[in-house]
Amino acid sequence: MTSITLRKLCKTYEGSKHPAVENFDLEIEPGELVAFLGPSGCGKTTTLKMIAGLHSVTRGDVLFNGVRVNDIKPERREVVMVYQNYLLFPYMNVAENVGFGLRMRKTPKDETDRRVAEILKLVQLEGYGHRSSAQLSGGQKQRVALARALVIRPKILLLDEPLANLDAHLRDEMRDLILDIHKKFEVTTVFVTHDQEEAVLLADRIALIFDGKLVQYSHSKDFYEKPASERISRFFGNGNIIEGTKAGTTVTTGSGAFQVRPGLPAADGPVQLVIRPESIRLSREESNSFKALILKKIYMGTYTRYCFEADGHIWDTTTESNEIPGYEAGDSAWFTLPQDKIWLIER
Amino acid sequence: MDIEDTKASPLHWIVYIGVIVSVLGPLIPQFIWPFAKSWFFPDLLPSVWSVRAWEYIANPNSQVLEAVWNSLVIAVLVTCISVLLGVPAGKALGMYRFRGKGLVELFILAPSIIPGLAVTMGIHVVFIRLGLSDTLLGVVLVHLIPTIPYMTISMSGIFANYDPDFEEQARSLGASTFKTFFIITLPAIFPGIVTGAMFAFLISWGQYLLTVLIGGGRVITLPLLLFSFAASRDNAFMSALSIIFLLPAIIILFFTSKFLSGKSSSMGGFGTI
Amino acid sequence: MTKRTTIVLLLFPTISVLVLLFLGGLAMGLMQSFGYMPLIGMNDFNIDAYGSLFGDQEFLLSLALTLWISISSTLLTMVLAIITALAFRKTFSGKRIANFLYQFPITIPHIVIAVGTLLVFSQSGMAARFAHQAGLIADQNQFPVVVSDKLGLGIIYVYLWKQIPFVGVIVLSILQAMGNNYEELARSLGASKWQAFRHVLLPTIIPGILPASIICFSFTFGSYEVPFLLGRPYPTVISVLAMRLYQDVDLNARPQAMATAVFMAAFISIMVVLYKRLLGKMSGRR
Repeated sequence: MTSITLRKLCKTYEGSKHPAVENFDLEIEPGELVAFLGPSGCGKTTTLKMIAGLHSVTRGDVLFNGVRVNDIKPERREVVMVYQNYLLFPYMNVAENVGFGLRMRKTPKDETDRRVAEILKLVQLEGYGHRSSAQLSGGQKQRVALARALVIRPKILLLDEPLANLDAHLRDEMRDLILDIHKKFEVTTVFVTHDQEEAVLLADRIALIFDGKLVQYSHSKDFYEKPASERISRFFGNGNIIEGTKAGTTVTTGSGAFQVRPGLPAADGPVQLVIRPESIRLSREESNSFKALILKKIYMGTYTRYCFEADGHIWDTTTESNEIPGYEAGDSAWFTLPQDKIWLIER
Repeated sequence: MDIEDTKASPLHWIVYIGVIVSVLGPLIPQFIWPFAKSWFFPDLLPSVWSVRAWEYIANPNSQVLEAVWNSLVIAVLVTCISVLLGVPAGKALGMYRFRGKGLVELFILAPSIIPGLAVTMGIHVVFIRLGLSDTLLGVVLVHLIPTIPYMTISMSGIFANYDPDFEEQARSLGASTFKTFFIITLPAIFPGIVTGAMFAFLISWGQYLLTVLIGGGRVITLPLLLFSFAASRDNAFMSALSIIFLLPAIIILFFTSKFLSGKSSSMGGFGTI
Repeated sequence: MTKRTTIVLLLFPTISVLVLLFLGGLAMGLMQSFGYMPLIGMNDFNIDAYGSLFGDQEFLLSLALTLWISISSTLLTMVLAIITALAFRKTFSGKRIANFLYQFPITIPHIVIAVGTLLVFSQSGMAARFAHQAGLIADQNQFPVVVSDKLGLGIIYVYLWKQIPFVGVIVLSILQAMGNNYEELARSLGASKWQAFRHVLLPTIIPGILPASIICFSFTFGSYEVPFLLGRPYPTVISVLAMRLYQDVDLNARPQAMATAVFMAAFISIMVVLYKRLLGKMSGRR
């Protein structure tokens, strides 16, 4: 199994003033499944291509198992990239597509045939070898592309937006397939996505990238509960951010003073208080409770969402639909911010 | 080493310089020779300069002005007829699907593939009978054999990329058929027509063989004069005529270079110019 | 107006003109090649012209020379168009001008460049003069004969000059449409630079330029001006031979001229049919 280290990695494209990737420092453990997450154009695919050796490194290093690979050609890195739009060679049938990498390595024909058949079985496309790629559905094309990458037993698998082109019902299937493959082949895997939900569902760890910079690299839970900045918090769908001032374990905001748990990393002074919508409770408790006006009620099936206002600040909360008392828009209600769910961002 | 690296390497520069030298090489002496009186081996520049070639061209007795005029008249007539016939046919091929379309396309394409020599030799005898031989009109007619297919095929490419929904939208908003054509259809296809017409003009302008066969040496055009000077290896006159001969091509290239993306189906016709 | 009438009306003028001029011309040529020329009192059909054609050594030599010139210039055009298009894909300073020059020959008439070739490559031409100045040759007779030579090198040069940009622009647009991704993918699957070219770029380019190549082939096969100006009188190419027979004062040579022309038309037609088959096979695999 192979680890990947990126050390102060930079990329500036020819003719461009702004770096596409800036001072990337990242450590990916052997056999880990990591997501590069960020809005489109943030530099995540560029980073992927630098790992693959397809794009040159402007500055910094790429290391596999601690060995610098900057100058190793892409075909010798044993890193395979799978593209978003599959890129099956149109003039080859499924088997020829899958066997491409083996033929490039001059693998004997009988071995090639055997390994192609094996891998097609693994991606549930047994017997599809003679089909032309035009005859395949999107999900099947994706599986052929995966098979084509895996058949050469790469050390590292790179997936560019692996689920983006698939219909919703195929995504779950494909996600399971990727997880299966990752487990079975024990291959260090990096995938690129702009969808935070996809990243959370698949990845062991997420590298969040904004504007060519790595802004947070941690387990997915941390992005929800311990975002490093307001922007990260909003990217993960949390709009409950309120300005305040921290003094000890008390944060004073426009909506009142709240108790926070001791040991939060933010220093005393101006802070932003962050809390997930699903962490806010609709009840009156000993502390951290306040009364507010419900502006909107949105029934979403399993969950119901309330928007409420307290002292000019709009809060968002989601509660399980069958748990709550029947509040309607226009009612006043008590809300509680549980002490242990509050996170602070230093300003 | 990497694919994304779009910068040219020294190896690429060899190709660029090779292209530039071999493209320009045969053209540069043509711009010097018309000013040379004596220019002997191994001089790199003429020893005696003169403009006698140009004087000859300007002389009304030299037939050059007549030839230029004939070439222009023929090419303009040929272009107009080709546009009038090629645009409707191109529309039929580009916008409709019908039975036998492949066959029709093949038939229209055939004259640009099959040597014009074979067709023109055969038709000559009919033209003699009809009194079209040795006349300008006869030459115009025979020039249509390569230009109409070219115009039709390139217009069919233009119409294939044209969205007829615009027409329907205009009709539903109350425009008449007539108005729809002038307000909607024509502006959309006009650039395509202009490009196609310019190349049809060039095909006719550059035609030697068909002109000499049907014109019988009585309809003098520029390529005929150039050809006879070239055959007699008179370098100064031949070069001067050659410059006049290639002027329209250069002008047209300036106008159309942005259209030469290779994507348009009109590319197919360039091979016959 | 039904759709059917519309289509018929739109196509009618073009089709009828082509039927009259093109098909009519071919039919008349065919008739005359069989010796049927009522105008000059030849009223019976025979295939004498074809017989004497294939028995004629000059015709066979002409055919061989013509095939040599068209096949070699078409193949060289393909190879050089791909090489130059690959080079022009890169960015470099002066690219706009170089690009313009690259496309420049597309519109230039063949005769102009035949004239230029005479001025540069004849034994007293510019190339010989530069060679003399550089001390490579002492006398103009030492300069290799590349115009009016046995192999038709001057003729091939003109065809290449005209056709490389024509095909090259098509290759460039194919490369552009393809982008870098397929090549990158091949590299990451373990293909070397050469293998990526051989197994990914080439199979995409070739079907795209086959139509252009058949145009090149048929044009060079039937072209008259360039081989007349830059070739030898004997053996000459087939079109020059046909024209010479046609212009012969002896009208008895007329059927033979027509037979030569009909042979050219038939030969090219067969080539196009074969090519269509080939293309059909290629696209059938998709």
